Amino acid sequence: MKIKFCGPQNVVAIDPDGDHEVVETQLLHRFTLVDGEVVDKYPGKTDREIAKIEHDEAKAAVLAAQKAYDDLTEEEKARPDAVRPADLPEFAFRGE
Amino acid sequence: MPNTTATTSSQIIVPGLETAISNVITPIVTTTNTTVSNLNTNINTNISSLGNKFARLNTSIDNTETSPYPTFALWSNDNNNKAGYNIINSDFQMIAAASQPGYMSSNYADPDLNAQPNWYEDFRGYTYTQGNLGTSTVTTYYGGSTVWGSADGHMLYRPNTHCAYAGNWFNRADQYGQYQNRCGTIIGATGVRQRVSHYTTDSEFQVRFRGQVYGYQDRVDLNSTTYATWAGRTNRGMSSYNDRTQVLVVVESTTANAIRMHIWRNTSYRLNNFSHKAGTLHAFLSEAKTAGPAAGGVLSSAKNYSFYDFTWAQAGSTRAEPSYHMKITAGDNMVIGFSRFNHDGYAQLYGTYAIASTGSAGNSGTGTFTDSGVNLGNTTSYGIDQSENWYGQKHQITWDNEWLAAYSPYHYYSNGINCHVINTYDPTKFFYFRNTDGSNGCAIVPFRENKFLSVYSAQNADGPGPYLYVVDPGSAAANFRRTDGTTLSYSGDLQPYNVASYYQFDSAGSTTQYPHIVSMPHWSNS
Repeated sequence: MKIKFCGPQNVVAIDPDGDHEVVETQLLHRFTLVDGEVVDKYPGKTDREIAKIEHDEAKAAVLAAQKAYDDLTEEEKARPDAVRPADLPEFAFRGE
Repeated sequence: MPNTTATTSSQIIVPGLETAISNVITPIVTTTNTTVSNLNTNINTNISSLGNKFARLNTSIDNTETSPYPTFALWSNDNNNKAGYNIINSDFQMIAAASQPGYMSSNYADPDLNAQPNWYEDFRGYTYTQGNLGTSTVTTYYGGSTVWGSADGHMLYRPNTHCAYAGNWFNRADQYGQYQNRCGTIIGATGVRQRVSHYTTDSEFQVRFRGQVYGYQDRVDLNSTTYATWAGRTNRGMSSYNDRTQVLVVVESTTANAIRMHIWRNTSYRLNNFSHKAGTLHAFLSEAKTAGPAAGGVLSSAKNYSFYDFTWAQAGSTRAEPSYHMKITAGDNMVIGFSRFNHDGYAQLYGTYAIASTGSAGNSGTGTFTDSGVNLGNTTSYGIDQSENWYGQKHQITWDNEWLAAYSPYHYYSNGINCHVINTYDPTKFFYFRNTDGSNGCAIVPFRENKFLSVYSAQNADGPGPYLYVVDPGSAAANFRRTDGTTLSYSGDLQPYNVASYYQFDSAGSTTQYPHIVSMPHWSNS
């Protein structure tokens, strides 16, 4: 498949007339443009593998935020903006 | 005929002269008098009918008036000490600004926002704009989420043009989501912004003020033979009212995608009026139900009711978001559009139902569902299954009410966008656009007559200011070209992110900002 990068913020779009040939994927956010070259953040990975990697990263972030909340004092927990992050749903990517 | 007007002793009589002159002048005078009379009538009639079409600046009170072109606000909050809005109209000119107290004064005082009113204080982290959303759970910066704004209001922001900076102009973010998600689409006449919200939960149908998180003006329980042949299935905001055809569509479904679509038409009442009165829903629905199906089609009679059983299923669609929370587009041609956020590694989907027969009383009508096949793939992403407060597909509609945008995030809670832009006159015609960003919001708001505007809030506001992108289905349908000049056809990609607008509007921060966008609750140029 071919992609191109649009506008000053280099938004990725699938385009038959695109400038860059890349692997077949639904996860376009893996691609960035660096010095005119396409960089694949996850070379050789399938969409499922990428989603799993990102899910693990997200889970770690949520667990860290939950621990930070748990470490607050009771007085700090009582503040209205002190909210314990919800658990991340189980990994469920099925879109390949 | 003799000339009888000569009175002097010396005269020349020209036989027939007076008659000849009269024959010329009289028809001219008669025609002129008739024309002047008609003109007088026509001018008064037309001025009279136009009178109510002009938008009132502050308070909307007339059911026939149009709204001003949309206005929107760009918000930034630099870590709780430099915050404010720029309010911009559809001429792309700034018409108002509001900043944190002291920020613009010569003796900048850096006031602490912790003392702001409760609602701001409770959610102030969500209003920060010095960073991007990332992948973490709903927390700091989330005012920039792709799906926190909708045609019924924004979860967090409620700016106005008539006051200075105040902490009490925020919405209660943790209460607003359930309201937004359960509001159906309202398709009005050209230039008429929706005057009410239609809130539905299962068989409960309510008419609310726009932005009315709790409370209502009118309600019915559709699970009654007075109103419908209700199947007892689930519904989270699956309704669409078309004020041009005076048709209401409500959908219920199971997670097995057994869909029942109810359609009422009643031209004696409207469900999008400032003057909505309690009891109007009862009259609209019960009279239509009593009339039953119209053999000639929904639009063939003034009052009728029919329902349609069908399925639309694919991998992943047996969950709450794709089953209970589809966005419905009740087209003028009685084709009904269905937008589905099949989250977590599937796609934003779109299909249409075309009625073949309206059926008989108590029995389903028939028709054909067509999946457009234009599937906008997503990655791990969340819908109302995970939380109805924070997630879920949303919609916006253009000023002319011709284009309805149904959209969802591409990535996790809030990032990127997958959007179908659907023609409300003929829902078989649509465009799409997307941004597969993994860390930033891409919220959209109505803009000008027939467009939307997206802010791609990725690192932008310190130098060039917010990057803004025009999503232009109106021009695309007129000339079949994208903004960048490339040709396209219906079902094509608008690719709005090819053409950026920047270096025009600043932010309130003094470092790199990721601004948030919100459609003004009241569109006004003053």
